Amino acid sequence: MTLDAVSADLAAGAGAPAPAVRLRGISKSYRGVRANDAIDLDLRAGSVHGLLGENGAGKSTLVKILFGLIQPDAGTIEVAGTLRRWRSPRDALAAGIGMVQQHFSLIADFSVAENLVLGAEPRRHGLLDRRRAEREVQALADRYGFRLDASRRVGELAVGARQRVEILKALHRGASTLILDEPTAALAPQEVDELFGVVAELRAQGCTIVLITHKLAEIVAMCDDVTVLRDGAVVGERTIAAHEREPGSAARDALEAELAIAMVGRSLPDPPSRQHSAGVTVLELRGVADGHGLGPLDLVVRSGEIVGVAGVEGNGQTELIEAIVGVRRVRAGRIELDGTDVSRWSVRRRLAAGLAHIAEDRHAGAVALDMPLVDNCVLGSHDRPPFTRQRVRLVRREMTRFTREVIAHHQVRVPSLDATVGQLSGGNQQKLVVGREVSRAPRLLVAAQPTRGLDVGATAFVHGELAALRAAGCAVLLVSLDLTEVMALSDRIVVMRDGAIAGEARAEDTDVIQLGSWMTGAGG
Amino acid sequence: MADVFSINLVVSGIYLSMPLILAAFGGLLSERSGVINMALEGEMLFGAFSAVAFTWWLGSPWLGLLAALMTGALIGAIHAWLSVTLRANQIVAATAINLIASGLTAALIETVWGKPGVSPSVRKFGIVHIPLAGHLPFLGRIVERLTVLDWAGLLLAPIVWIVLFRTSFGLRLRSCGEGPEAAASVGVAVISVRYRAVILSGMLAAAGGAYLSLAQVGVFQRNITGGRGYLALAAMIFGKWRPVPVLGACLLFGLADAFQFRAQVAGVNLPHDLLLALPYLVALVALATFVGRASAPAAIGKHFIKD
Amino acid sequence: MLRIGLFVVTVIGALVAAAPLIAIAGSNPLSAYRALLQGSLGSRRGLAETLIAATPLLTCGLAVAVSFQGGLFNIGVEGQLVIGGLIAGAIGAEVSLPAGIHVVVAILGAALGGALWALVPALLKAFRGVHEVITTIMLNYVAFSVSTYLVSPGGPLVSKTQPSATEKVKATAHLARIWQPTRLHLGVVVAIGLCAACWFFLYRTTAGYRLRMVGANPTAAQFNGINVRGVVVRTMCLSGALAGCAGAIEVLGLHGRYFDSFSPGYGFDSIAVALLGMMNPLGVAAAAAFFGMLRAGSVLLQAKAKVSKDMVTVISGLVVAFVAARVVLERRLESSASRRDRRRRDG
Repeated sequence: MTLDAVSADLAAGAGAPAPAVRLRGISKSYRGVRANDAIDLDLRAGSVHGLLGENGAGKSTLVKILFGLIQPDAGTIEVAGTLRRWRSPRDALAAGIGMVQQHFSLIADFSVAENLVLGAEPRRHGLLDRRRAEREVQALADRYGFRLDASRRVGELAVGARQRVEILKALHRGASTLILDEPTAALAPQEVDELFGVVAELRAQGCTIVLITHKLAEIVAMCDDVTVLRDGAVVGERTIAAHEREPGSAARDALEAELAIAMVGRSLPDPPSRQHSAGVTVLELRGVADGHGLGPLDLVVRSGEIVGVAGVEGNGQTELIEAIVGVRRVRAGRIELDGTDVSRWSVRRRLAAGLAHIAEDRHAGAVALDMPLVDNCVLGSHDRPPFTRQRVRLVRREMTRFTREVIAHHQVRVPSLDATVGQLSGGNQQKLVVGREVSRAPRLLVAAQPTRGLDVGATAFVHGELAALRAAGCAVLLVSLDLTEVMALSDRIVVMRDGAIAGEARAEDTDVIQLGSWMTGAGG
Repeated sequence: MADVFSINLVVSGIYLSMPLILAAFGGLLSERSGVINMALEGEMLFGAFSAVAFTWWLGSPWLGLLAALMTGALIGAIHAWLSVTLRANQIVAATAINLIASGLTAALIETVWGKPGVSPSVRKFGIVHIPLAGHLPFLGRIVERLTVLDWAGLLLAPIVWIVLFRTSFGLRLRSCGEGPEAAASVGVAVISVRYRAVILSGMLAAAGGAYLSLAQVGVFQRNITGGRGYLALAAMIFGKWRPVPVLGACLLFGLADAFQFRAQVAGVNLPHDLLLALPYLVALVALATFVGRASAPAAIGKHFIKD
Repeated sequence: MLRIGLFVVTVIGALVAAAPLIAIAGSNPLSAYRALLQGSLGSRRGLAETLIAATPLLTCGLAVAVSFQGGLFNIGVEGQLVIGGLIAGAIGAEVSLPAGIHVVVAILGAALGGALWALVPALLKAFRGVHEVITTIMLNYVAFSVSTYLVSPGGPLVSKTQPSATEKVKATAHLARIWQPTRLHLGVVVAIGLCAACWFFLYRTTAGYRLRMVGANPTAAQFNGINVRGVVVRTMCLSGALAGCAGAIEVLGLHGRYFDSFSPGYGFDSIAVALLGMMNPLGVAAAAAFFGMLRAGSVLLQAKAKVSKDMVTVISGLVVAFVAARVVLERRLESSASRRDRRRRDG
């Protein structure tokens, strides 16, 4: 059955019970970019509904509208056949819709029970009735078969258990429709299994679940229905039949392929012309481990090639970047830059040896928002000529000249040369950072999430810069959560999972399905 | 030397730690709600001044104490307005309060009493005798010499503990210090809770100042607090923002202070002026051995923006 | 332009807010301010006294400003100043050196003393994460005790003729008087020199650049090759050294000897000076001049308008309060500026 056929089936909807929630024509734009474009969505009562799509496909925007966190530009929300409008999540909760966000809103210092009763505490003789709170919360947890101790401090719990607390909190506050936003993003494999159990139990007790994910395996394992979003619009809807869940079956393979193609789009962007004459090894990691879950891993980046690091967020990418840049101590292995072991070197020495770095979180790692453009522009090169004389004096003239150059060459739009970086738009801040790093003519560029939060134009610009660097013979390590970006730019792709390399392939020899299975550890 | 370590040391240690206890528990309430309270010193000074001034005018230390509490509430409200509503840098705001307190209370001595530096003596708090207490071994000799305020101060630790950990107000107060966004999402009025905590904090610190001026010396002199507000803050940090350890830290610093006094009386062969630094040195060493910031409330010093 | 505007608004705001407090303290605010103005600028002597008071305020203000630019809040300036004054007094009185060299050695000794006094909070901050505000304050009180002890009866440095003071500083260690018959001394030149040096250091050297970057964003600094801990320690020591210099200038230029409580709280006023001067050496100089006027005028204030000198501390506090509250104004200006900017970009 094709997606279109199923859509037609669903639309006919003969004999099906009224949906628990019905969204019609939901649209939302940010600064001219359509995050949601006339989206329709029906949630069947007592079902698990998957929302599948890549980062930026519009899933988060859609569920935030459903939960009242943001207001749609157009469209309607119906709950149990009644039109509703939310002014805040509290209205949504009152109508029985709860949400478990990726970043939990729990208080680590409080017990499970305290977290749940906060805002509506049971009292006895004017005091907090802790025993009753714990009893009630424990009863609720037991009712849904959650393994939880209501008296434990949340801060002591593992991530999976915290997530169960968050789910319980929504239930405690009366939610019967639960939105789970990327619930497995931060979970260990065993915890994922336990979450699957929890979801099944919730469904069995009549809850409706919305599951947001970009992992095919989860959709196939858990969902009754699936809606695929791409570029803010619905590109496919489908019910999943029991036989299609059979691991290793042809039906399952066909389903996964179908969903993957719908998710990524039929036409992958044309890869820019690739230069296959990768040169000498610039960066080599051998058995690198930090003793906290990173590695041991091996990695090679040669001059004139872009190596893309793909993976689900939180699988060691940040730690890998920090180890290469030199702010994370490596306990084992070697990090070689042009054949020299730099694993004990300071950041300054590594920068001097030709490392450049586009930080993952621009505001934390790359710029000082309150400082002028000029000061930000030379950050990292501030103690090298021509910006300094004998590493003592700053040469302001050279700093200003360089800043003008970066601004002009990289089309950074600035109100004036004396402006602070904070006065620039996000895209222009990133252009400044990219321009600064590229202008150092590095041997190795570590580009972490270089286009996160950028609009289409700025993204294309950054991609062009990376390709130009490659052409100039620089080694580029591109770390991104956006699989499309990794596939479009890289010569080779490695996938990280649980702090290690789960797979590696030349870009032209691989596809979404293989990368996806490495990322998720599903299939083979 | 033997004279130094005596029952008197313990008693004066309790006396001397009492202002610290009152102020430190004030600081605890404020910081547990997420507002750094560096203004304890200034609030103590204001409290100490109005306690003496109003006792002098009205003749009753009780009315003096009441005036001190009201002054503390007023200063606390100003502090909260700067720190919570205007979202100013909380340390800068507190520095302003401390500077104003130090200047204004010193200037007002002359305005009120006509001569600079120190006020005339006023009535102090009396000692409350507990019947038969004197017959208790060891403890009896301590118990029989405590004033009403001493009792209030010693009871404060369990009271604050109960308020923080056994009432819904305390739960909400702590939630504002640990996760204001999470608290707001379940309907806790973060701003109002923080206001209440900072105002209570000002009242307790002012009570600590009143103890200093009314119960201990019976006069107000310029900068009578001499850094005790900061010592209280150090005790609160050293006590890791938990009532019982904070009480212990206050008693420790108070004992160091008492030791310094007793050593002087007993003629210990150490210069008195150097010994004066003892409580501060003890506090410094305590802070130096203090491990990590993990125990501070998670959202301390973070402004909350109501949307 | 904007900065000058903020400066003026803050000063006027603080003076207006101080008026009711002066009234509570029993005087007419208008005549008080007239006395202040007359006492500070109304005569040659007044002008000199303004500059004399502005000298330590400027030096200490620089100490606070440098720490602030490096992301630290040194409120232990008063203690570091006392230690500096003590060391300068001791070197000036107890050591014999040729003229010129003697005064330089005394000032450098004071700077070193101030730096060492700041080293403890610096290390505790860099390696144990203890907030510098508390440790610097604790060390203020320790400094007061130690300095009082050293010149107490029987103390090792006390003068034979003068209680609570060291012997007089030898002539070789004096900072010369430069405007007879007033008390104005070479210290004001030293302070202005330090101000220029601080400006040069902060904005024209790589070390100053690193300091400002650590203050503005330590994570970005670390990611870009700056040793954050090292900068924290050096910043705090530099700040302490400046405060120590201020003590030396007072002792060698104005008083001619160290005596107990020679500082009327310059170290505390300097917090207001630095905040009012927006942490920029030039702004700090302007703010120091303003507070110098307050200090110099406060003598006449007390004599004529019967307002306690302590009201100057109140005005300092009000200035700090206005700087704290000013963030609201700045936020509003900023958001309207960025709105304007967006309109321009979109249009």
